Amino acid sequence: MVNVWEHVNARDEALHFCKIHNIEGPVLLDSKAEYINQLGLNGVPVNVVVNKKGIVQAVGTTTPDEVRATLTKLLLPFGGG
Amino acid sequence: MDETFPSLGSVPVGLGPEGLALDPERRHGFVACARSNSLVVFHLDTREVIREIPVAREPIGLAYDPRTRRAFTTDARSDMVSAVDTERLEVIRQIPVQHYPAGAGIYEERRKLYVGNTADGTVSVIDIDSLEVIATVPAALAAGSIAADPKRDRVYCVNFGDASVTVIDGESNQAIDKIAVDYAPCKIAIDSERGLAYVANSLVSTVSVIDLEKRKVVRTVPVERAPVGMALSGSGDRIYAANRGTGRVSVIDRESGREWGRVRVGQAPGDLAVDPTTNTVYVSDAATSTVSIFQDRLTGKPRTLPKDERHPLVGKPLPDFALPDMVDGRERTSGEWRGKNYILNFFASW
Repeated sequence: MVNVWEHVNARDEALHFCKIHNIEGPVLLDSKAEYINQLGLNGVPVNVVVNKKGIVQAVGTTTPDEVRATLTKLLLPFGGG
Repeated sequence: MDETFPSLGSVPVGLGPEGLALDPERRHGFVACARSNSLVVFHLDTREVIREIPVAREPIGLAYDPRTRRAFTTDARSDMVSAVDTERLEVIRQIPVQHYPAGAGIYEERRKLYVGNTADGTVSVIDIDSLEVIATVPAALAAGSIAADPKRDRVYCVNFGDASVTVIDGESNQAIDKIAVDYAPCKIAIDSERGLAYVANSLVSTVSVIDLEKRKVVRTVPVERAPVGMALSGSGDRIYAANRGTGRVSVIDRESGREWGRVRVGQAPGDLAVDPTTNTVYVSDAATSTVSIFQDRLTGKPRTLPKDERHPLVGKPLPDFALPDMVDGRERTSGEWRGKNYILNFFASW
């Protein structure tokens, strides 16, 4: 996960958010939004799905149905490019 | 330049602006700046900040009473509502409410302010004139956005964590019903004359249209990712949804229930307010710390309807990243995930 556009105390805000929402796994900080801007993305939340070859498979996909559909495709044998 | 929805520029305000309200007669705009702990007053014509007024911690919700010219911010991390006299430009009272108040709505005719206490799932009812809490109404998990329906003498509170809307009686302050909507409803707007309510369901990217007589969802309109703001045009013929996940506002036609336009505004829009005489739309943007402004000049059904476009990144290699880890500041790079399927989720705490 990447925390973006955190204007004040980015680390503390991200830690607090992850604690109250029980978020586990690595969380990176992009406080000035340099990386998300490089990707040409607007808005949060947004998911970027990447396959084993490092190719972007989907952008957006945050509703439960979208995530399920994208992951099913990605994890099928020979699927996902 | 977009001729249908021309941009009228933007106003740099405080950090992390959320709740927004206008006084079109006085030509003033008000915005709660959650990361500056302030209420910013700006001029609608000059688009300049008149004053930044410190309130308590993390003001999110905002309501404005034109009669007393008081603005109320819900200061979530202080469990407080700040009442601001917008003529003297100062806080006149800080009213303790319950935990993490994040939404507010005014019922002008009954002289009541309603505040959604997110952490308690309750609604505090405050007398606008005496500034005293007169009732606390049980709602549901993560109560937040609130709007009044004078014609039916009802008030509606959206419960983010319960996928529902609590119906409160305007006179008795009793919760009398609950309406099921989609997941994670964030904001409600009311057309009291027509008996319709519109609810932005952030997690499933839809707008629920509620018939207020039947108290049922009668239509569901798909919009873009993560709609969190909701407002109506002066006539009620147009509904605006601010999509935090795409940086655009969806313009919905009331009659057909279709999305007729998409307008780019900032990068992560939040709340919306409309000047009804000119259909000028103001949008707070927590990513860029601005209020952006556009005008709705759409006169009928547009020739082309908005389409979902594939993002240019799809099919291309993900550009490498090197970003600090939240826990220890150690640099983490895209190389660590090479050879794996993974999802990069971008989020903000607000």
